[in-house]
Amino acid sequence: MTDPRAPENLSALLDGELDPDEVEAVERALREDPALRAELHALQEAMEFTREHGPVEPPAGFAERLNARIDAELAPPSLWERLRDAFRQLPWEGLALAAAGALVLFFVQSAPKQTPATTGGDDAGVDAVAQGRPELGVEGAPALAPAAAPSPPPTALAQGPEAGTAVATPDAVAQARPRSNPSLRLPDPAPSDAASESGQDGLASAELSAAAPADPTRGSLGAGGQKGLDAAMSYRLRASDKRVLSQLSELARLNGGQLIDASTGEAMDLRAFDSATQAQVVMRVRADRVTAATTALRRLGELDYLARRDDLLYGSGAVDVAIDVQLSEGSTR
Amino acid sequence: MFATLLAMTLGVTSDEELVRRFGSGDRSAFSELVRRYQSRVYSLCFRWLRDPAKAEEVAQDVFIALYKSLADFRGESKLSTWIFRVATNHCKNRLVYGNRRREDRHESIDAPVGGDEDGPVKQYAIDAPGPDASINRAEASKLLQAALDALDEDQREIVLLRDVDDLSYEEIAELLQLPKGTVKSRLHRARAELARRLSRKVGLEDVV
Repeated sequence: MTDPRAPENLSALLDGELDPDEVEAVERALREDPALRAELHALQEAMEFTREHGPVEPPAGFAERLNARIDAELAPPSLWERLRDAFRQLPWEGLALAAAGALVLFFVQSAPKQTPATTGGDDAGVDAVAQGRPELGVEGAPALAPAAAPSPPPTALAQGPEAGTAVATPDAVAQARPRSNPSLRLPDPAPSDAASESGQDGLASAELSAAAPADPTRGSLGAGGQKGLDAAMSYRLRASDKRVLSQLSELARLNGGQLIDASTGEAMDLRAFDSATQAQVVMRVRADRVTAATTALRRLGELDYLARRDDLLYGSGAVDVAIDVQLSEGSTR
Repeated sequence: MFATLLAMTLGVTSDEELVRRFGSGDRSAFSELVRRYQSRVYSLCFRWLRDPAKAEEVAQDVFIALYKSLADFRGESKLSTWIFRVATNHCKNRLVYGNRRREDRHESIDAPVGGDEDGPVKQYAIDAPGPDASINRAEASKLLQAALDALDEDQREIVLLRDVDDLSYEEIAELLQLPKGTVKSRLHRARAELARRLSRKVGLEDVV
């Protein structure tokens, strides 16, 4: 202790935060200095006044209302709710088209045998639901336009039946099957441990054109990529729609934040990533909107949860959510 | 470790034991933690936000965050430190982003009736005491709130943690990531300022 008369020692004395030698020194100073005693008395009165009148009891029923919120917000979905959500997520347009294609094949196979026509064409026209846009799933977000109804493959309808063709060959069915909309995907389970997530080697998939990060458990925004951005959570998002970056930007905006280019630390310039297949971004959102934002992330594509830092999770004002966005072109599922 | 042994000696279940039990699926352990901390968390929120409805909402947010994170709590810091850090941050966030009430929350039955939610504490609206009347507890609470509001944010934060939530200097230092000496000096300045403001408003000995 530098000076027993130092004012902060008076508070520490009242709080019992001085060691015995320091207490003796301060008490000696108090005996010798009436002004110091008066100051101590004023501090003690203010401290006791605050301790007496500062605490406020919560309203009656606080714990009951808290439990009700927990049950409502955090209870696992019922079997009915899970079935309902799965039902909504099914690519109905694609299933309808597949059923129509199967029906056509059935009738084609059932018809009398004719001269095979020239096959050809591709399944480029079969893109049942790729035009759909996912809901962002946050309060106030506009419901986006549903996917356009697919047009049936012209080759499948125009051709006559083929002699000797097996019913519903895999190739034929594949031609009729639309590209699934990765945004219409069953919701991921709750974020799992980073260690278990890193075991899923989705990066080896041929549909991903980007190289795998060296250490997925650290998240894709390594020390070299960040410009002073310390992300509280880290995800890897795989999507086949390039508009996912603008969707992320909108998602961030709706949640009181913005999308940041992780390499520059600046606000995201979406035009710079128009033709890129990979982007490292940080979605900065209001701290109280993190849950809603990360829930909506799952609707934008296939989401891997990589890492979380609890000591940053409730930082002041906003939370940084790092996202390694990997765009795949022409992928089919 | 010492806290656990002390708790065991006194027959009180330690926070660490409650965390362990919650991780094993015992939800009553969480209820015990709520009972243990609800007053202090609510007090902190109330003194920051000055509104009972907001204080309850944010206090519940803190406990919901605790509920979600408890199974993963690794005990690198004391649970109480974690709780009050989260509570303080939530309160500051709420102040930064204004007073927009979350639309998916139920209205608190204790929300102030009429008047400006951003104004002074309404639940304690009372007639001003006469010149010879000693102030009552409700008025004392109002006076304290006004004095706290006049402090700068750092001073308010530290005096609330020490004198309302009863955290030790060491806990405050860990929570705020400050040296203990800074905690000591900042707390003293906060109390000295409070003393100056309170002595102008009321003779402290007049409080009933």
